[in-house]
Order: sequence, then structure tokens, then C-alpha cells
Amino acid sequence: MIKSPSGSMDMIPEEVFCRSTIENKIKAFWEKNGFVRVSTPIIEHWDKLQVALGDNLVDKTIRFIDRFGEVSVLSPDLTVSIARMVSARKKNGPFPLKYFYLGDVFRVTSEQSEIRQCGVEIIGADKKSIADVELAVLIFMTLRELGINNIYLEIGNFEILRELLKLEILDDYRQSLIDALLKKDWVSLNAIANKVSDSKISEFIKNLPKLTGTPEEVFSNINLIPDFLIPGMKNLENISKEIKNAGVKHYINLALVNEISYYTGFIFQVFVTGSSKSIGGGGRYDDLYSLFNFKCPSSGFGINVDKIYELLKASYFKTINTDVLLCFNDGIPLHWIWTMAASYRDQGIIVEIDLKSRNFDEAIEFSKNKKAQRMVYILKLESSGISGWIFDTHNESKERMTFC
Amino acid sequence: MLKIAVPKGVLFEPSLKLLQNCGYSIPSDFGRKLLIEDSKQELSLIIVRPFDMPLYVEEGVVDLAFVGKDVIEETSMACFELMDLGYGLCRLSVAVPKYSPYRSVEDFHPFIKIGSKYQNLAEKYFMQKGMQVRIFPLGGSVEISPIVGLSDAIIDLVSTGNTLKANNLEEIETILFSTSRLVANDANYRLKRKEINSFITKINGGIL
Repeated sequence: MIKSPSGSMDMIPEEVFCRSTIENKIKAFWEKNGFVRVSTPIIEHWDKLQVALGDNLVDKTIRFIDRFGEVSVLSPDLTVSIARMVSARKKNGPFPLKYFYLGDVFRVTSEQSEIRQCGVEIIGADKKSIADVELAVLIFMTLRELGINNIYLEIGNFEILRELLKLEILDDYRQSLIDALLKKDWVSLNAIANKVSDSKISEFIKNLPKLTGTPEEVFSNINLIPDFLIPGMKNLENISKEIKNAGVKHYINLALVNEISYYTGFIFQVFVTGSSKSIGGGGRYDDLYSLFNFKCPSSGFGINVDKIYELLKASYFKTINTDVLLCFNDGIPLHWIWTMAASYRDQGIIVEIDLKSRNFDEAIEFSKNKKAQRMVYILKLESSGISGWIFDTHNESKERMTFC
Repeated sequence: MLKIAVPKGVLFEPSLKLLQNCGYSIPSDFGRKLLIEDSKQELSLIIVRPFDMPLYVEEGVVDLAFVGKDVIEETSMACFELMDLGYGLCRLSVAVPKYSPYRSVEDFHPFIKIGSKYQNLAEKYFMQKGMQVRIFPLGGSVEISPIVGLSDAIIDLVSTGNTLKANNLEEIETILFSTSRLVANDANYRLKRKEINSFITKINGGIL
């Protein structure tokens, strides 16, 4: 047995059906919300992507030299590809553009290298905070639409950490702070905070892990926030209020960061019962498009379709079967078979034509194995047309038929 | 009920003791069972090998775990590192035989042979020093490897230093200090936040 390459997976019809059902539900829901689908290539230019991704993700990319001697990469992130595409082809709008995507991204991780992802992008929206609210509400509602109920939506404002990290007194600790936040290593974060001379800043860094919880819990602790970070906090509070007004339960996490480095402001992640890791997330990345010489605010989110598939495969599983299996005796002119199949198909019935010589009994056995609802066996050609049997696999009953 | 992974080995006893100090009634005698519950059924403890910890935590099979910093660093375990529990203090050190000509890591010749259970940390350490070495990944009894000539030096955990002494080895450099940490699965930390936070409050009380 030769397995698919490490980190990738094959999908048999039942699995494809299940994943497609999930994807179709998501697509239909996003279309209903006014988003339209775009598609970008699997292969991308490496140079621009490298700047946008950040060190952690860069290390996971699959790169190669193309036939022109340039470094190319298997797309590790579709948001950057869409930024390149919009900068090249949709610079004139009309804005805001509301796009969604569905495709594979490639990252070398311990689990999988080929990751099915879908997501949305809001590009060029003037009313940024409304776009932020729309995204957080949309990711929540998308999961609801799929029948997922226990959803933990966590929001933060990366601008707060960005402003904090600009402080000169943190010059010596900047990288170790970023590492500790990315690794969620609160022990190291605390140790770094102890070295910071400014007591208010030191306390704030120490308290970052505690600034997590319901909006009421976190925003009531505003006294822990240094003055220069209050605007970012207020901005987050306003977004949180609007998300709440939309009926979406959520939590705040001021220490929320993402290994992708292009985020600039609002940021969020979702967790659901039954999945040990985040199944999706996103935020605002207002500087991303400038990498492609196009200044344009943008935000979006991605969902890991494979994780949703893992979660829902039991409830979306369906045995793939055909309505009618068309078998025929040797010597029947083929055009009769095509005509008969077409007449069924015209009625919306799924017909599969058997391609192996079988007698009637063998055809019955085959139709049972295939779980076809009916098997039509064409026996012989007569002056009035063709005659044969219709076998109902459910009742195991048969009746004669003629077809003119 | 919170599911917690407890490592076999040196961290096992102090981890159970900590839970008992915090008011959890963990039976002291549970024979060869690998799954234990406290009498109030608030906790379910799963006893696993230290290096299997990342799998249990990352896959969300357990909500929390007691795990050495050495394992977290060696396996780049993806989790929340919530607390330094203080016990199980040891160090990951470079050691050589007493008769070795190498008195410091800087003396090492290129492609010197290193035996270690900590292949990733060893590689990272020597890479940061710009040194090329050969690392032999070993499952245990690392101290024997330089004695029988498999390696020139070892990288291993040292607690009292007695095992090194018994095998005529000497520490020449420390790579990291390790203690037991309380870690949480990424998703479960959020989804069970109330339960986990009250557990942390209890643990804080137990440490003090």
C-alpha cells in the first residue's frame, strides 16, 4: 500500500461528499451575505509573501525555484494572494470589495501540509470598525449555520500590543516579549515584566494574561491599562458592544496575537467544543496592501475546513449511491443504452451505466453492493423496442419492462 | 471534571502532593492504575510518560498537565504555559568524562559526538554557538554513551549530579534550568475557563 505523501490526505467519494456539503453550506451563506468568490493560484511569488508572513510562518513554507530561476512558493496564505490580485486587477474598486475564497494552503506542520481553508476579505471599507464587527459576527454565524453551537469567539486589539512594543524602555525585551506572547508562555512573560523598570508598564505586562474573559470582566479593569493604550482599549470596547448588540456572545483577550505578522488592529479567534485548536480567526491588516504598492484598508478571516470536517463528518456523512444502475446483456446496440439513460436523466434521475458483462443474477449482486436504488437489466432487442427487468434493491422485487 | 496529565518519573510524587495540599483527595495507593479520580470527582488524572505529554495536551485529550520545562522546550509543545510550580528543579547540562581533554564547550572539535535524549535542544544550542556536532538521539542511559565510546560528551538532565559522578562524568556547561510547569490545552483553556481558573486559584494557594 502506498499512502499519500506525509501531511496530505486522499479523499474517497463519501469523504468528498461530506466536505463538499460543508463547503457548499458555507458558500451559500456567504453569498447570502453579499460576498463573491475569487480564486488565486497555488503557486505564488516568494519575495512579497515573505515580507507579509512573519518568521514563524516563513519557516513552514514550501519553496522551490521555478523555470525562470525565481523563488516560488506553494501558497501558504490566501489573504496575501488576494492582496496581490486586488492590487493588480481591482485597484479601481468599486470599494468595499467583499470577497470569499475556498482553496488549499500549504504549510509544513506536524499535522498536515495541505490545509483546506475558506475565508472572507473586506477590502477598502472606510467604516473600519463596522467591517470588524461584520467579520466577527459573520464567523460566528457561519459556524452556527453549520450546526456548531458551543462557539468561543475571542477578540482583541493587536494595536494595543503594537503600541506597547514601540516603547523605548522595552528595546531590550521586545523580541522575547513577542516570543512569550506567541508561545503563550506566561511564566516567561512574568519574568520579562519583572525586569521592566517602569512599574505601570511592568504591571500591565504581568496582567496581560489576566485581561481575558467576558467584556464586563475585562473592561471593568481599565485601571490596569496605561493611559497611552486607552484609545486602543476604547476602540475594542466599542466593537465589543456592537458584536454584543448583534446577539453574539464573545470574550476579550488582550494578549491575543497571531503568528502571521500582517495584523495591525482588531484580531479574533474561534474555538469550538470538540476541536483542540482554534478552527478559525482573522482581523485587520491595513498595511498589507502597501506591500503591493496599493494603500487600502483591509480585514478578513479564515476558517480551517479540515478541522470543521473532522468535527462534523459523523453528522454530514452519507453513503454515496446511484438511483439507477443500468446493466445490459451483450449484443444490445449501445445507442439504445445511451437513449434509455438519457430518458432517465431528463427526469432528474442519477443513472450509472455498468461497463462489465454480467448475467442478471450477477447484476443483482452488483447493484446491491453499489447500494443503487434500482437496477435496470436490458435483456434483448425486440421488434417493439427493448425488454428487460427492473430490480428494486430495497424490496428485492423485480418486474418486467419494455422500452420503446 | 478537569482532565489533568501527570508525568511518570521524578515529577509524579510532588505533583500528586501539590494536588493533595490544594485540598483534592487523591488516593495514595492506586496500584498500577493509569487513570485516577479524586473522591469528589472534580479531577481525572492521567498518568503518562513525560515525552508523551505534548500529544495529550495538544490533542486536547487533557485540559491541563504538569510538565517539565525541558519537555516543553525540547518538543516545542504548543500550549499555554500558565505557572511555574517550582518543584522538580534540575538543569540540562553538557557533561564530559573526567579524563576528557575537553574542559569547555568551546574546546570541542568539529563533528564531536554528542549523546542526548534532547536532540532538538542540543541542535539548537550548538547551532547558536556556530558549532557543527553529531548528535546521537538516545532513549535513556545517556551517561553510558561516552564511557563506551559512542559519544564524546552528553547533554542530559542533572538534578543532584550523583548519576554523573557515579559514571565519572563532569558538567561543563548548563543549557537551561527546568522546573515543573502547569500547562493548558489551547482550546480547552478557553472553553473550560471558569473551571481552570478556579483550579489555578487553588494551586496558587497550595504553592504558597
